[in-house]
Amino acid sequence: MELSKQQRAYLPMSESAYYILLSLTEIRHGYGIMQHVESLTTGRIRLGAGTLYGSLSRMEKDALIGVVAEEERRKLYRLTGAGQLLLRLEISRLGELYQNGTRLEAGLS
Amino acid sequence: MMSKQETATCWFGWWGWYTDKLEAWLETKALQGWHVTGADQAVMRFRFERGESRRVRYCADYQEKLDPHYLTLCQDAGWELVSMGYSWYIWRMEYAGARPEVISDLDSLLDRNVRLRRLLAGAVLPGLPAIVLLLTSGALQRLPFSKYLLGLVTVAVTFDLFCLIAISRQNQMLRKRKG
Repeated sequence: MELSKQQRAYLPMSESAYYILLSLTEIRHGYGIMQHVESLTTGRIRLGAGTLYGSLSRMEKDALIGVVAEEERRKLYRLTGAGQLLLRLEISRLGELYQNGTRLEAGLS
Repeated sequence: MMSKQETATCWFGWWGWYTDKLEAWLETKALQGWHVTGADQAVMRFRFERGESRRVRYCADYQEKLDPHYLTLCQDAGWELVSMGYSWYIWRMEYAGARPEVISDLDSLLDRNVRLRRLLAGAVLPGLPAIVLLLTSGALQRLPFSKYLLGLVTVAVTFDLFCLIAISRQNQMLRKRKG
């Protein structure tokens, strides 16, 4: 499958980008994303507010996520169709990594 | 009777592409009981107030434009805005366990440095042809204080180029760390 220029720029994804997109399968604002990612990874990943702001701005510009509402200077985001497609591609890539890893794990001493 | 609050003012020079030194200095000051109450526009002259020793994380972040959503997000995450000037924001947060970060990955640092480089390149590079023309046409020599003007322009361009090279080197190091 031929990847677009934008898809190539995001794939393979950084952990931060992956979890931000994954969080936006539901409508959330920035701080909600931070809390969700921390909870999903049991505290392993704590997104910095500056990092998250930069990522959200870039993803919004690239139309991977969209603003669905705004409440008291907080934007509420959700994945767009392009964002969903990109996330599916990454999940599929990670799935292949996992399957090959578990298939050949027996060969490890 | 209220006791007079002990205050101090200190200068600290730092580079925008390497904020660790500034952040560590402010953190050490807080441990010594000196807490920032504000800074000048250039974010180099800091005002402190004496208080109790506290473990405080300070972070310097660069944003090209003032966006209220950025401020709200940082405040929601528990950061207190200490100072802002020339697109630099100084945030702080008291902590006990893991040291909190405003920038939590190398990609964001690389991105910040790219924005800084764009700013510095935009400040001088478009004017370079005009400077070259001034020097080669002899027009500069006819201007009053031409020697001083030439010196000033040379210093500004050299400093700008130094910053651009330093940022590129810093980004090379960050890319190596990223692997």
